[in-house]
Amino acid sequence: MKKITILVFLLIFLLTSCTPATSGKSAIEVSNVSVHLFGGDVPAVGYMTIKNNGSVNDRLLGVMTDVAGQTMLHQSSVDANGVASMNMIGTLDIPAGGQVDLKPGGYHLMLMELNPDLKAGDTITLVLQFEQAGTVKVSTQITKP
Amino acid sequence: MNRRFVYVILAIIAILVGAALYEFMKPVTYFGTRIQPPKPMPDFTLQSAKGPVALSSFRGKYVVMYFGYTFCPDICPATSAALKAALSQLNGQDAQVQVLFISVDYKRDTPERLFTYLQNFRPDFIGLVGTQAQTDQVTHDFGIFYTLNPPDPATGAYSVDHSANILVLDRQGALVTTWAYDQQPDEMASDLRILLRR
Repeated sequence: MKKITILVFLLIFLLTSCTPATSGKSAIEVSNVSVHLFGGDVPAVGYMTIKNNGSVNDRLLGVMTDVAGQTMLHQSSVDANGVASMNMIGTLDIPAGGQVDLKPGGYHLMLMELNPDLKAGDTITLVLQFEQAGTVKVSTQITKP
Repeated sequence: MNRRFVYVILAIIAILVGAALYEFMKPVTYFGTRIQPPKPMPDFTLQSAKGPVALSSFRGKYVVMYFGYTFCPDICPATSAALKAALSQLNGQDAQVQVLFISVDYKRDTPERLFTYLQNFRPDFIGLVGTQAQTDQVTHDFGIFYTLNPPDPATGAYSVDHSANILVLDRQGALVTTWAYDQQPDEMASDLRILLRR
């Protein structure tokens, strides 16, 4: 009876250890962070590279910073007729083992209602909220475009 | 011995003449879309931070025009930065080129806001904005599409879809070239160098 119990536990252990994805973890790495300030009450723009080194898909739910009243995730695009548009996106999928670039002409952060004292050279912290990885904080020095 | 020397000299001269002829005759690469014949464009007057500005006041210069808005933090700055980079490659001839940024966001953009925004790129870039009627007229005349999207219910913010191509007018105010929004600075500089020879 004892042997059977041990066998069952061993079997359960083996099965659970072989289950893919769900037993993995998201490991988010954020790099190449830049925020450009245009001056006045013009919104600032943020770019970065988000890499998911983990084995489960993750999702960026939002970004906060104490220097902006609103921070939105946007996607710019230009269609076949050369018409540029910018759309707000609620969340951004970061696939397991994948990488998403926030870069000019594509995904970007738009920082609105900025602290009027903000200037190029200041260091700010962006708080990124991920579905799996939780909170990831990154700091960057603000630059002019 | 002397005759051989003469032959060598003649061969060198022939090679040099051939190379010069090839350089002169080879087709010139033009990166933008050429408008042939140049299309005369209607005049307009819009507001800048330093007062009203008429397109016709730039006769004698090449005018590079693009349309956008300051709440566009992504594509419009990329175009502005590309134009700045292109002009910096003109070796002093950039004084013969006037860049105009025309806002399609007549509700939010002001001449002062445009001025502040463009200082990030080059102080000689001029930002212009008008009333809705003026914006409609200029965009219609220059074949530019734009539409103000409905505001986000939560934030009130809105985006503006707009043509992102760049227009080049010659010294007489006629449209000679269009560039795509992602035209590379060195390509624009090359086209401008060709145009400025005229």
